[in-house]
Amino acid sequence: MDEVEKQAKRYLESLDEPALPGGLWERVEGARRHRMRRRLGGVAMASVAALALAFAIPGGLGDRQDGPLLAESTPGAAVEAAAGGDADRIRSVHAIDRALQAAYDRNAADDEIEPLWRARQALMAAATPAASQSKG
Amino acid sequence: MDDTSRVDIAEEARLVRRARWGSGEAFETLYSRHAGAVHALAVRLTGNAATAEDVTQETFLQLLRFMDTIAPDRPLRPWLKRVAANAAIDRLRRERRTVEFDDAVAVDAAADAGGPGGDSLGLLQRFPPEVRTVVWLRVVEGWTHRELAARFGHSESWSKSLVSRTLSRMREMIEVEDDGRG
Repeated sequence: MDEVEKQAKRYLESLDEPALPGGLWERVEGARRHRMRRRLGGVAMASVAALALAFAIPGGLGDRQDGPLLAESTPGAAVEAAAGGDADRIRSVHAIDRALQAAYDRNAADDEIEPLWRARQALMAAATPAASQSKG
Repeated sequence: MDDTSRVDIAEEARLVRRARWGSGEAFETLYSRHAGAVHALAVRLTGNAATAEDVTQETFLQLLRFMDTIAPDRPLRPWLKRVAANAAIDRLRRERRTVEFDDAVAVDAAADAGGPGGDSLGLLQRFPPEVRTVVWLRVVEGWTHRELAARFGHSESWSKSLVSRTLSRMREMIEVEDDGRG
């Protein structure tokens, strides 16, 4: 950078900083929540399909007769309950997704949303080795 | 203008990770740290308040979209500013607000200070949008002429000449204003 550019830099950096518009955060936050809900919808579809393929459940996803239904408000319990069966695991993911969707819809606090995502990730991680064993 | 030296990169990486999980609190913290700088750059590059808001929003949504790919060992602000600059340039090009070289340093009398960018653009307010963008990115943000040429689809000599001629013109304006005061 030559001297002329350095002088120009000093001049430009001395100009007033534009003020951040007050309503911008609300716009950005609204868009973030909208995006999170959309992402959740997409992730739910993709993961259920992946689990169904991995475990090749007889009767497909429509078979909801066996296994316990899960308490949506207790993600830890969901993971534990789902540990036994593949169909249970899929139902657990469904349950967590519904809980997440509901949480986003009512602007739930982070400490409610984050454990749900962690539980969801734990379920998906648990599914991966099981799937590979079943194929092996 | 970046103050990245004081940024706790590990702490920022934790915030990005939490925001990825859906933490509004983490995202808000990232926003409060960087939105001012991103918006200020957007104002300087677009010269338009509404467009600058759009660019800022777009930048933070891109952050959400690409959180998985952001290097955890690097400060976030340069990445955000690069995204904002690219968004502003895309808008310029979409709106065909580009100028031929000979027009580039012609002062736009209608766009004098007091326009949307006001005092935050100073003398640059008097130049066409593309000129403002190139000069700001080069002089303040430190983009190389090679980067500018590639991004604007011109040669390096185009970028060098544009910056050089614009800065000369700005110096003349300053001298005229100083003489007027004297």
